Amino acid sequence: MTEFYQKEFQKFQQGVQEAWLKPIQEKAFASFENMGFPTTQQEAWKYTSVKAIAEQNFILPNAGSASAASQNHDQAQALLENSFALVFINGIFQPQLSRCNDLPAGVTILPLSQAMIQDEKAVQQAFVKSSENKDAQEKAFVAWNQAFAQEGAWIHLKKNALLDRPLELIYFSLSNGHAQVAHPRNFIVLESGAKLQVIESYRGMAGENAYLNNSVTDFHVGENAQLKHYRVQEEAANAFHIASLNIVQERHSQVESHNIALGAAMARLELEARLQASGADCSLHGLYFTRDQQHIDNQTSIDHAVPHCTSREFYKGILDDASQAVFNGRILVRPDAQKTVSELSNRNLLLSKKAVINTKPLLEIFADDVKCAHGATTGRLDESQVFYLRSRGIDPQWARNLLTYAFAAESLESIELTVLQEKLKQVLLERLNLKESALLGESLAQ
Amino acid sequence: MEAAENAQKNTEAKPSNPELEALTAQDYKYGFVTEVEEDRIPKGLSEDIVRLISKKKNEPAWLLEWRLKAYRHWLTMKEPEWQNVHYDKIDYQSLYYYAAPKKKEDAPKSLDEIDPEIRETFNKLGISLDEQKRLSGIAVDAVFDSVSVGTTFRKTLAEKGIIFCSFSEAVQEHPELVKKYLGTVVPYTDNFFATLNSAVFSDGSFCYIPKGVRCPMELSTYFRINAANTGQFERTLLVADAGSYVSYLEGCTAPMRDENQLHAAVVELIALDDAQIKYSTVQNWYPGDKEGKGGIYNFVTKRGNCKGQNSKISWTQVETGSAVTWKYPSCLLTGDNSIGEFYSVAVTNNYQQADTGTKMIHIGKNTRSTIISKGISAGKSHNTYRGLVKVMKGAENARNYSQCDSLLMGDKCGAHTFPYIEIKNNSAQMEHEATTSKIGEDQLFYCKQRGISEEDAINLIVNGFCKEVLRELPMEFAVEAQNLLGVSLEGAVG
Repeated sequence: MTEFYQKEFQKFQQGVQEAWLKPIQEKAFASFENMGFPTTQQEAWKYTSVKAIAEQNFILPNAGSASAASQNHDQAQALLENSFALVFINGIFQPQLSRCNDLPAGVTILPLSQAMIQDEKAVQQAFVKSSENKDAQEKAFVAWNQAFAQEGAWIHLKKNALLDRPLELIYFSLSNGHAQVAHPRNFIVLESGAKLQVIESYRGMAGENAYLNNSVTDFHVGENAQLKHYRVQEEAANAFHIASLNIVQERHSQVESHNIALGAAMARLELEARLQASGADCSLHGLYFTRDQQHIDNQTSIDHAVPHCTSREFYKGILDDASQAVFNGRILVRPDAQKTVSELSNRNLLLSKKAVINTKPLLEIFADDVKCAHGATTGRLDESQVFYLRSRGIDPQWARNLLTYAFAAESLESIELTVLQEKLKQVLLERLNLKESALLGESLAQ
Repeated sequence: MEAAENAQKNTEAKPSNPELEALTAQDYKYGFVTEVEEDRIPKGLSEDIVRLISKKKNEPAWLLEWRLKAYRHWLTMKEPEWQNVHYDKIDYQSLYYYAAPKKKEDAPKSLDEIDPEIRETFNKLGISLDEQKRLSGIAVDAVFDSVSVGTTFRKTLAEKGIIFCSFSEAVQEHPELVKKYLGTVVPYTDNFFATLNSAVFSDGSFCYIPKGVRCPMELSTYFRINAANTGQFERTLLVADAGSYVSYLEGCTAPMRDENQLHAAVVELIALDDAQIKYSTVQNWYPGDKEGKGGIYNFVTKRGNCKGQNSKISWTQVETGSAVTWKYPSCLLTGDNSIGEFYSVAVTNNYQQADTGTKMIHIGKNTRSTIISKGISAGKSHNTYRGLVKVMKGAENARNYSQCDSLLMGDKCGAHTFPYIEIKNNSAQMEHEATTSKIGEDQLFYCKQRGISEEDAINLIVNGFCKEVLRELPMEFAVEAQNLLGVSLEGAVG
């Protein structure tokens, strides 16, 4: 494997224009080479094997494959009518599909490749900073991304800037001919008082070959700033999706994150929120719905570094067929982070005999004046509820699907962006074959 | 009532016969003394040492072979590092793996020679003078032995066909039982410390409850004094045959005078059809001084196998001692309809560290498990709950309920919860919840304004916090355990 990626890296480096970027990426590649792909021997990867990724040689996409893929640009289009959008196909920016004109004052939305030209100093700083971050040294996939990062979103909101319409980051992928890997790298900074709603969506079409999306997204949320982040992962059924998401929160900032994971053969998200100034508040909501042989892994960590911060986390999972899911939710309260209030809940519904769930909610508490709680449950549908519906003339399969839908929909209720909420509910209804009954389906979706 | 209890305690403490008495008076000391006394084999670990231990104990060939297999396997293993505790590396070659009991003359002559702080604790726990002497390893004179309660107990047990003796005795007298069950729950390859134990275990307890017998009394190491102080590599094997019931008590609330740094014991429980085992532990070994120097490393492997249908194993533990505690009493729920329970209170103060919890492995159908864990950290200590609930594919209708609560006292301590939940069957129903908080100011205020001192108020609240676990303990133990919590947390707040 190493030899192959060494060659890929050399080829890649020849195309890199920025002199300052080369040493950073060389360093990152060296640590990627050093670490190799994680194995299930490592505690953090105990339940998720990346053997299927390690066994293949993923090439970087070229412009040709992207334009071929853009034939299918129906799926690569923005979800909302009036949103701002950056569209990437196989990791390559598509200006013709993107919409970022008429931006309000103080807002920068650029593809990373362009930002490297227009905003070089700031991009350089961001890269230097992330290369000093321990993630790039300790996490193989983050190092891999760092080594090959060339495209992504560069979003900057100046003090009190407000993006009145949602921003969509769309990553559409398709592999044909050869297994491909894209390394989206997103930098999103909200200065104090800024406000942003962003939808990060990953979609794909199943081609002959599997593709891999290895994304890294960094958020910096300044004082009093507000961020609403929606992450919708609907990768192709044979795709791999590995992502790292870092949120740093300043004083009195508010973050609401929704993470919906539906696609990919194997997907893993490592989400870390660091509350590093008092008064910060963080909500994490998640829903994963797996079927067939899917494997979806969610690793979340909320780091309470200072006193007087609050956080809550609700993740729900539905597992069907022979699919597997992993949930790891960590609450860390550092020494002296007094008056922390934090809660976490993970609830799982197993629909099939062959489904496997591994859940691990963690509390690491180093301060005494705190209120922290977590809970995890696993079970199947309540037969008495099924009976109730059947006694009212609803056939058993339908009753089950209805109850499953109710379980899942609850976690979508808190999505403020109604259009998105609606759309996700439709996806669920479709998945649960509840759509045919148009009447009930409609009334449910409303 | 109380008087009766005390009386019972007094009698329990008395050794049974001259032979026992002689052993009682002895005091193991595996210390780090350089000169080699007679009957102490050289320090360090090698195949020869394993052979020597086995020979000294006059063991049959199959057991020696088993020890050697364990030793050879141990050589290939690495000391684990994943646990959430920190301690100085142990030099396994500088330990003594076998020492015959020390001579009587070396033991302290009277209570005056015992550390006043330990005596103070004895008094707070309400332990009788005679028992204090025994626990401190003081040479007791023959008069003390006049009433041999122990023998009476033994007779009652023998009538029922219950075998309860030291491990060495069992090897000599019931080799077929030992051979049949030894290592079936904790194989010699299990983990670093269990493997080490398998190679060099010195002694321990063996208990067999025959079919359909309900053991008429709480079996306690109190009664089996000759096997007390079996040292750092203890091995317990407890077999409950079909339809039997036994409640077993291990340890005691009094601080143990013990100079072994490392304790790597192995406990194996086997419950056959319809059998029930209740295993209670109170551990209060030397936790080190207030600066965190010294103290015992308690690395124990405890596991029970609910082998038969409708069997039940229940672990109850109160852990207040040891500098580092690292153990996970577990249940393999192999038989259909079997039940596993785990009730734990772990208290850490000063620089103590505890990484403890349980593993519930659901294998059979309709298996149920309950986990109630209460952790209390004070001072600069760290208390970790680490548990695993695993439901295998064939374990239809498994049910688990886990509750892990932590109480923090002081801003320098830590409380951590690491539950692993692995479900491979959708008929499983499992719930886990955990909370972490401190003693509420309002609760303290409420008590104080009613004239209860702060210390008593804290005691009251802590005892309330642990009530669910303490009520699982046999009665006389429960009273002592309650006092013990107070003693362990002395000076933690205020």
